[in-house]
Amino acid sequence: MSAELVVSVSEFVALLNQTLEFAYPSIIIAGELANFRVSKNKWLYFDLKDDFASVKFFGTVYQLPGPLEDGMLLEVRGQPQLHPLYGFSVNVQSIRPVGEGSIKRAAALLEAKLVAEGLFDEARKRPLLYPPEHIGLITSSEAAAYSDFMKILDERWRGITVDFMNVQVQGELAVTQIVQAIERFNALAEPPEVLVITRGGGSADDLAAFSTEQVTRAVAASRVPTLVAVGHERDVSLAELAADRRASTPSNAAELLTPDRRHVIDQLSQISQQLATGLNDLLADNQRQLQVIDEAFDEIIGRTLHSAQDRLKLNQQVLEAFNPEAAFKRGWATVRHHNTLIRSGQSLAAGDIVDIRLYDASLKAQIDNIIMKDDR
Amino acid sequence: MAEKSYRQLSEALEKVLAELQDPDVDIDRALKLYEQGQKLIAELGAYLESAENKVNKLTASSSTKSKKSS
Repeated sequence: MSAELVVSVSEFVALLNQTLEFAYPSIIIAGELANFRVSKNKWLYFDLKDDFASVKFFGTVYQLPGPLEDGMLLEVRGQPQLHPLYGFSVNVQSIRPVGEGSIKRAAALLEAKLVAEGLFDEARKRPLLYPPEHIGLITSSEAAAYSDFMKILDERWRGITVDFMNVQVQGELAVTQIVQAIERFNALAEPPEVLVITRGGGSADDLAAFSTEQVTRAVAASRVPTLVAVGHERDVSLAELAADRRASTPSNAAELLTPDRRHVIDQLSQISQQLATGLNDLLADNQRQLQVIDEAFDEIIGRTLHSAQDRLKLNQQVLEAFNPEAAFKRGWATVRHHNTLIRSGQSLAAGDIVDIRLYDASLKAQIDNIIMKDDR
Repeated sequence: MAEKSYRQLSEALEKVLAELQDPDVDIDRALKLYEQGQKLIAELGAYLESAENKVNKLTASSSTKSKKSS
């Protein structure tokens, strides 16, 4: 009789867990979410099921990609384990909605939650410096996004410093790498003036990282203003909604950030011409002002001269009034005796020969008789 | 970087233009501003013709290398 191995319950649990850990250190299980619940805001309990089976999962809320609800298709990475008290479950390492329907549904639930928090409010949007001198670029160096962005940037503008962080923009590592890159740029001693987070178009699955809660919150929390550009046709990713500005493609991002330098060069030459015209106008204005002053000066001088002439005429009239010739014309006469102008009858005696001057003649006359005024 | 950036040159030009538009600016000052403005415009144009964009590759931990693009 061979002795069969007998183990205690605890030994069995430990033995089974060792075996499971060896066989499945990490496994991805796909299925439909059922019985999803969160306990004490911290612990996750749910099942994944298909038509024939159902498996229990256990995790923490930190592993949630966003809000979930029963019926979604998920890929859950985890490690199967037999709990000493509560039985079998898979310990969750990461959760990812899959399939267009579930991705959209997960995004819609997350969007509603973040909208309620105000993460997408217009009031939160900050203006971007235009054009920037220092850009932080987060994308994959392998994708066309990087070369498209740089090509348009180089065509349009000059003198920009681009600090570039190469990240995966899809797949399992994308979320962590994008979040780390955003945080790293924010922690720089001289952070860039704008963060550009971009990738080209792809399937809903490819773009999923840009609609995760982690990336969306990292974008919203960035102190450096953000521009998120995810190439796509219809749906806008949540990271774009959280960004200060969004662009439709990597090339469009470069266009939004910078003016076309050829256009600016044209504008500069226009300003140069306007400056020249402005200066000419100013000179012409000054000349006109000088002319006005000149004319005003002439007028004042003219008026002054005029009044001087008037005064002269008046003086002449006054002078004219005192002109003795005028008195002679009116019939006055003078009497001289030995060339002395006679003012009184007492200066003369009868028989004196006197000279009389009239307006138009001189007379010589002899005084016949002198009658003084008082004698009359 | 000893050279002035586009933004600095551009701000300087805006100041010049604003002062020139002041109706009280006298002719001596206007002539000086005009010269400054034309000089700034020439510098801005030269900048847009000749400056280059630079790319520094950073990793999540530290800066590694830098190269010029274009």
